[in-house]
Amino acid sequence: MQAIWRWLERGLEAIISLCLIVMTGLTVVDVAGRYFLNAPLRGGYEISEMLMGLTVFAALPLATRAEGHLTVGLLTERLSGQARRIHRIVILLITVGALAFIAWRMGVQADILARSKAASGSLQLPLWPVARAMSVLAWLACAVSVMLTLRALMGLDREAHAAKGSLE
Amino acid sequence: MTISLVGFAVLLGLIFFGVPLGFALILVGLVGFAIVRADMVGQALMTWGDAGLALNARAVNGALVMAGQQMYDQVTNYGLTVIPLFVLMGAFIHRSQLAQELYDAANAFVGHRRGGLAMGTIAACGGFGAVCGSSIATAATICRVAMPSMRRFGYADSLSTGAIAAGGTLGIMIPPSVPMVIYGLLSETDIAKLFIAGVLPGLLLIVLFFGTIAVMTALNPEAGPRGARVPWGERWGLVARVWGVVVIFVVIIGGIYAGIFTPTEAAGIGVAAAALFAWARGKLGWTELRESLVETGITTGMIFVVAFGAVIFSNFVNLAGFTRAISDWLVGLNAPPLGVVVAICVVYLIMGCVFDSLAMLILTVPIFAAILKPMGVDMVWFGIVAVIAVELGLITPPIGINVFVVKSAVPDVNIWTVFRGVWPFVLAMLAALIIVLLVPQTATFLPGLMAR
Amino acid sequence: DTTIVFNNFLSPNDKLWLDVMKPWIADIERVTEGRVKFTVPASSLAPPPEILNSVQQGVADGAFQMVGFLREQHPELQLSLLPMTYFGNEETSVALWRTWETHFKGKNDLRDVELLGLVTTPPGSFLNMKKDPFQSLSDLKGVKMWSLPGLASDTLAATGAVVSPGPAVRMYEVISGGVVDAFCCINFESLEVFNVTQYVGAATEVPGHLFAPAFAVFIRSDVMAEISPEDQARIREVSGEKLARYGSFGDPAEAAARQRAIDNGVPIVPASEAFVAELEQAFEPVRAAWFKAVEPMGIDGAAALEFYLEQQKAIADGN
Ligand code: NA
Ligand code: NA
Repeated sequence: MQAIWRWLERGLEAIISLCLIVMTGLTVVDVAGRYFLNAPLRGGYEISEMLMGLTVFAALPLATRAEGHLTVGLLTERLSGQARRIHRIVILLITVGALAFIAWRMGVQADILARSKAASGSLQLPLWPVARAMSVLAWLACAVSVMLTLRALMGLDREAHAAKGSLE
Repeated sequence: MTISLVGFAVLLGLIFFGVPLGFALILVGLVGFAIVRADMVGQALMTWGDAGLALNARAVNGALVMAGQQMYDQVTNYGLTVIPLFVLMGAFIHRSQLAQELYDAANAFVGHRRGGLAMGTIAACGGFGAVCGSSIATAATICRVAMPSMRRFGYADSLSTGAIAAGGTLGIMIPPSVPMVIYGLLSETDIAKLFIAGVLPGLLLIVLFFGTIAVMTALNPEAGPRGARVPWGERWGLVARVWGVVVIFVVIIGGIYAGIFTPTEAAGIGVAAAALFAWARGKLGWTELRESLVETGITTGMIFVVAFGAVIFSNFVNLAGFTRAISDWLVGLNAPPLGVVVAICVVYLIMGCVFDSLAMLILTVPIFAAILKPMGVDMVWFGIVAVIAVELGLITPPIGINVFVVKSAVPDVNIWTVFRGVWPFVLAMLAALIIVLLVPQTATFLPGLMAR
Repeated sequence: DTTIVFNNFLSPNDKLWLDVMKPWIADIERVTEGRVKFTVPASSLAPPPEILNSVQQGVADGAFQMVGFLREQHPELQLSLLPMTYFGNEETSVALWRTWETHFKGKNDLRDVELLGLVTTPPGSFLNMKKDPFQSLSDLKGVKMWSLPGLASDTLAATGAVVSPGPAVRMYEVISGGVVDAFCCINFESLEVFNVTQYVGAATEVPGHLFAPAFAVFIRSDVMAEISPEDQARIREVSGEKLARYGSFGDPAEAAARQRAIDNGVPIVPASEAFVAELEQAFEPVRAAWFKAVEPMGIDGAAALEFYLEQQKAIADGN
C-alpha cells in the first residue's frame, strides 16, 4: 500500500511539475516569438488552459492525502479524544462525497464535450480528453479519502486532526 | 431572497463545523440551485407520487450540469492562469531567501526606533509585494523571517502578528497583483493602469501602518522595544543587496507598461525571471525546484476547490434573485456615484468578514461594473477602492485568510491574539479607504500620466 | 401558466439585450397575455461556450448564444461569419433566418431545443493600431493581428496576417496592452463599449465587411410543449423573421459610433478595387472549406450562400 502510494505521489508530482514548467515556457516562447521573431505561438493560451486544469486535479489527491483542504472550523479546533475522532470521520465522509461529486461531474462533462465535438478555438484540439483526465484524477483523490476514512473507522491514525489546511 | 439567507446561514454553520470551505460552498450551492430552479417555474423539487418520492428531474439535472460546467470553466479559464503562475513566482522568490535581506535592509533604517522591527516588517512586506502578486504568499514569507526576530527583541505577539497579517495585504495593493488582474478581466479595465494606480495607495498604506505602530508603541512602549542601530554606511550596503527585487519589479511592470507583454503574460515572465534570479543566487537546485513546483500545484488545487464552490454558490444566489436584490437596492438609493461606491464598500466590508477575496471579486465585480460604468465612475479608481475593501476582509474576523496564515506559521499563538493585534491596522486601512474615496487622485494621478 | 428561465450572458446594458432580446420577450408576454412569463437571472448561469448545452441539460429554459461557439456541431450556422457577406444588419438578420428556413431547417436541427431566431450584430473592419490604413494584401503580410478564434481567425490568416486568436475576455488586455499591431472582429460601437477606440490608428473597410457575428435564440422543446398550441403559434409569430427584424437596431448606433471615430481623427478608408480583388481571391479557400463542412448535412453551401446574399438585396429593396 505504502509503495503504491509512493509511486502515485511521484507520478502526480511529475504531472504538476511538467504542467507548470510548460505553462511558463509557453508564455516565454509566445512573448519572445511575437516580439522578436514576429511569430506568436498559435493557440499557446489554449494549452495553458488545459495544463492548469491538469495541475489543479493532479494536486487534489495530494491535498486530500495531507487532509489539507482549506478549512475554517473555529468551533471545532479544540475538540479532543473521542469527539475529535468522530468529527474527523464526519469531515472525511463529507470529503469522500464532495470528491466523488467533482469526479462524477467532470466525467459527465467529458461525455458532453465528446458528444458535442467541442474543440479549442484556434488549435481545434478536442476538449474531452482533458476533462476525462481530470475526472480520473478526481476519482483518485476520492479513493484516497475513502482509504483515510476506512483507516479512521478501523481506529487507526487516532492522533490525526480533521482537515485544517491553509493556503500557505 | 429568504432562501438565499437560509443558504448563507447553512453555509456558515457548515464551515464553522469544520467542513472544508470549498466543499461546503459546493454542497449548499448545488442543493440551493436545485430548489430555486424548481421553485422558479412553479414546481417542487421533491414530490410524493405513486412511485414514492420523486425528484424534479429537470431541476436536479440542471443543478448538476451547472456545477460541472462551472467547475470545468473555472479550471480551464485563461484569465485564471495567473494564479498558479504568480504563486509559483512567489515560491521561487521565497526560495531565493530574499525575504531575510529585505527585512534586514528595512530594519537598518527603522529598526532602532520604537516599534521599529514591526515597521521593518511592514516595509519588507511592501518590498516583497513588489515582486509577488498574492497577499497570502507575502504574509507567509515575511512571517518566517520577521516573527523570530521580533520575538527575540521581546515584541508583543499581538503587535508582531498583527503587523505581519496587515503587511501581507500590501502584496495585492502594490503591483503585481492577482486580484487586480481578476478585477481588470471582469470589468474590462486596463490592468496596466490598475497596476500603476496601486502604487500610491500602497505607499499611503505603508505610511498609515507606520503611524499605527508608532501610536501603539507610544501607548505601550513594552509592546515594541527598540532594535539595534545600524550605521549609515552599512544601511546602503544592505539596500544594494536587494537589487534583485528592483530588477524583477522593473522587468514585470516595465514590460507591461511598454506593451511587450500583457499583465497575464507578465505572470509567466515573472516566473522565469524569479527562477533565474533564485538560480543565479545558488538557491534553486533540483530539490528546491521540485518543492516549489509541487507546493504551487497543491496551493493552486486548494484555491480552485474554493473557486469551484464560490462560483456554484454564486450561481445559486444569482438564480434566487439575491444579486438582483442587491443591485436593485444600489440603484434604488438614487445616490450620486460616490454614494453608490460607498454603499458598495459597506457591502464588501460585510461580505469580507466571511468571503475569500477572489471569490468576492468573482461574485460581485460583473454586477457592480454594470451599475457603475453607466454612471461614469472611473473604473480604475473603483478598482483600487475595491481592492482595499477586499483586502480588509483578509484581516477581519471571523474568517481572515491572512490571520489564518500567520496563525498556522506561528502555531503557539492564539488566533484571537492575532485578531486583537490586527484591529488597529484595520482602522488604518479604513482611513486609507476613506482617503482614496475622497481624494480619487491618489489612485488616478499616476495612471493619468501614462501616454496611452 | 409557464415561466421560462431565460439566460442573458451579456451585460444588462448591452444593446443586443436592450434592443432585441428584451423587446422580443415583451412581445411574447404580450401576445400570450401573460400566460408565458420570462425570468432572467442577474448574470449568466453558464459560460458563453456552453450556453446551448446548459439549456439542453436544464440549467435554464431558454437562451441566446454566439453561433461561433457551435462551429463543430453546427457548421451551417456559421454562414454569416463568412467574409464579405454583410450588407446591413436588418438585412443579414432576416436573410439569415430565411436561409435557415429554406436551406438548413430539418437538416441538422439543434437537439432538444426549438430555434426561434437568428440575429446578427454589425461587423468589424481591419483596424490598424498605426496611423496608416491597410491598402493591399502585402500590407497585411506578417502583421501581428488579434482576432476571435474560429472562422474569423481562419479568414484573417488567409490574408497572410500573423493571427493570435484569443477569447473575448482577452481582447481588452491584448489591445490595450499594445502587444499586437492590428485587430479585427469588433465594430465601432463595441470599440467604445470596450473603451479601445483610442487604440485604433486607421480602419480599412471592405465591401461586405469581414464578418457579422450571429446569435441563435432558442427555448427548450419540452417547455414549448407545455404551452398551449395556440400560444405556441403566437410565440412563433413574434419570433423568426419578426425577431430578425429587430436586427435594424444595429445600424444607426453603429453609423453614429463610426462618425464619432472619424470626428476623433481616425481615418476610415474603403479598400481599393485592387485590394478587394486580392481579398476575394484570398478568401476563396475559406468559403470552400465551409461548403465542405456543411456537405455531410446534405446542405448545398454554395446555393445557401448565394440565397443569403440575394435575400439581403431583396430585403434592402423592401421585400
Ligand atoms: Na504585489
Ligand atoms: Na474577513
